[in-house]
Amino acid sequence: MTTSFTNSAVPSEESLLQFWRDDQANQSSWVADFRRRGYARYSELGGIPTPKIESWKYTDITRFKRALYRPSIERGILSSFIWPSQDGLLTIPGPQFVLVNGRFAPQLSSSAFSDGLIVQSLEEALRYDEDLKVRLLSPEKVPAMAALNAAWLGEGLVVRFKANTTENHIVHVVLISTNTIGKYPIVTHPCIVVIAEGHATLIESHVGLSAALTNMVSYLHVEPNATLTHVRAQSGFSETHTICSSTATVASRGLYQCFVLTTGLGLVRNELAVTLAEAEAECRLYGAYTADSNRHVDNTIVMNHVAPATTSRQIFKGVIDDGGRGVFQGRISIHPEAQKSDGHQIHRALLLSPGAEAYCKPELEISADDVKCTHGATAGELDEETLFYLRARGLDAETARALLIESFLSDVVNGVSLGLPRLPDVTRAMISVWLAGRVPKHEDF
Amino acid sequence: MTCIEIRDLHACIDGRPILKGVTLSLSVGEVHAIMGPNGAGKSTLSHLIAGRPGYEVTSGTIRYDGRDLLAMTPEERACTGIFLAFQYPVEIPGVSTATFLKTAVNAQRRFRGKTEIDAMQFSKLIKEKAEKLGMNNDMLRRSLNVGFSGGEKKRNEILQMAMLEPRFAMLDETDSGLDIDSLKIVASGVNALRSAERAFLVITHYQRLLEYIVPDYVHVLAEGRIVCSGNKELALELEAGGYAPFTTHACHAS
Ligand SMILES: Nc1ncnc2c1ncn2[C@@H]1O[C@H](COP(=O)(O)OP(=O)(O)O)[C@@H](O)[C@H]1O
Ligand SMILES: [Mg+2]
Repeated sequence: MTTSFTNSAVPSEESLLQFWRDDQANQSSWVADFRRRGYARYSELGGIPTPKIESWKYTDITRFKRALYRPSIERGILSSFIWPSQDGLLTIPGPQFVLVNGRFAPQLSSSAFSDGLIVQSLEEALRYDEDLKVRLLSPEKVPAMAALNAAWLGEGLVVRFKANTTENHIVHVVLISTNTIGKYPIVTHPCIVVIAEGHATLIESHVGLSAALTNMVSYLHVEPNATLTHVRAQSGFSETHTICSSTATVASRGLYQCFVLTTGLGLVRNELAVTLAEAEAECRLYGAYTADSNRHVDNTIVMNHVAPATTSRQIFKGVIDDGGRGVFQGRISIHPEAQKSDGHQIHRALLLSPGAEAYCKPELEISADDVKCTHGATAGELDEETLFYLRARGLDAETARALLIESFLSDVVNGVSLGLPRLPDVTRAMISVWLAGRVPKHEDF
Repeated sequence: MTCIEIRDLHACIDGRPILKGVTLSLSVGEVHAIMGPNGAGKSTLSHLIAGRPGYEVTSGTIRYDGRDLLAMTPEERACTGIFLAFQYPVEIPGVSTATFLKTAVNAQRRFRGKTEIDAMQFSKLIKEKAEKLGMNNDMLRRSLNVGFSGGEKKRNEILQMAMLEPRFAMLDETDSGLDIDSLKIVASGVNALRSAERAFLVITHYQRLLEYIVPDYVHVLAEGRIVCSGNKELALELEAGGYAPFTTHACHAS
């Protein structure tokens, strides 16, 4: 039996507030204050964003409103966990740190890790890590969902990759949403802070095992000359929904490269604001997603070039089938002091059915004159001529479509080895699982 | 033994008649050539036989090894041995020629109830056949037809034919745009496959190809009909006199 967001009875906002006030007493004064400011900001912005707000025009999360007004009291600690078989990401070597419903689960996580790496639960780190506090954005500066996350500050993880190591540290962070006892969907507000010096790789897997809503925030700091490679894979149960608000700050000659792969979950919003804060900072974003039968995938990017000679590349590709919706909103903002900067952005949608929807909103704001900046967007269907060619070689219609979908995604998939040689294969496997699970909806002959 | 038999075939595209009563019969072991002016319906005929959607057959029949061909899906036709070398082969980025061909070979094997081909065996076989067509390993690894020259694309079509070993192969203007060396390679690829179990339909605009692939019969298709059939001498006649006499009145050759 599954629980759903729309018909479960949930407590009122009043009871949530009461719970929240009671919980404040358990917090340190700094955290309690941060949370209070988060709640004030959330209220000031009018609560849960509605499609009347420009950046939420295509993604309506108001159906989660009632669910959000319920404290996430279930902390059901999993003693063991069976990784969904479709996910091969964990075959990439590296220590694993698991969050179950937002909470760090040491019993599921690696304990031994190397000198160059510090991983702690956010709760623990906030007790004495003063530097960490300045790494979080003030609640007054963040949009509504991040403010709500701030109001519940405490869940999450801090990962510090230290400098002076030449090796590439690979760390897995696994976020599992599961509901083992309760009848209500789980709602969590994890916060992940990553500070990368040197050469760092973060592989973040979001796994939905039951009805849940994750309202996550992440702060990614790429220090001077450092490289942070970030893979975010979202798969699993379509009653699991994820809203991620990420902020990446890249210092001089730093590189932030990120691949977002969404082949599962129900509603997904990946909001990412990148600030290329110092000269020659660089960012490369790759995205591949699938959306079908009531799945909704939204990638909303703001790329801020604020320093000279900064570079950004974005390439996103979505495969959308009947009943699915893909949203891409991408803004490149080049500030006056960011001369000699270079920003590119592409979004392509492949529509597999007349019932597939794609919305793309590119925006360029250029306030410097000596810059390069381009964007491109297309939405198209599978080419009939090519499909016929494949069938004329003996491939049945479904196999032919699968091959063309693979071809469509290939420049993203093949382009994203990101120093992880197994990544393209793992990605292809995850896409194949999606393809295999899809019900053929097209009649031929 | 009759391989394919087309009887009084009429077909429309978007309601417009393109084929207006084509009758043609090929037996295994034979090579037939179809010549004719641009727009005559040659590609239409070959695509229709291969099963391309979008044509409306208003009357007539096609029987293939005794079966009603028009009732079969394109993949069924391919898996039972029909092959079309396209006039304009498509490009598929991110899928190598080798991967694509392996997928096709295995799809056809599965259809016939056979197990998938062994990877080593496949790779040996494809290299061997590619080499004969002057295609190197690099071309097999590159994305299908992406960045290939016109001649390379046509060789790739012949390679696919060689790997799939069809029973009835159609070549749609495989010679157009080829230099003489490529033409010879392509022709020898076809000739190597000629056998008593196989029939070929070679569509061409020029007589030149038929010097290298010598046909048993030549047909002239004009305005959606076969207006004339003869032996290989007919091709020479066409070369000398052009298509005009054939499109205006009935054929006098035999
Ligand atoms: N997809 C199509 N849609 C509409 N008309 C077509 C299409 N394909 C071919 N035709 C028309 O059918 C006729 C025959 O074309 P085709 O078979 O390509 O001739 P050939 O190969 O002999 O040069 C031409 O008049 C052409 O314009
Ligand atoms: Mg033609």
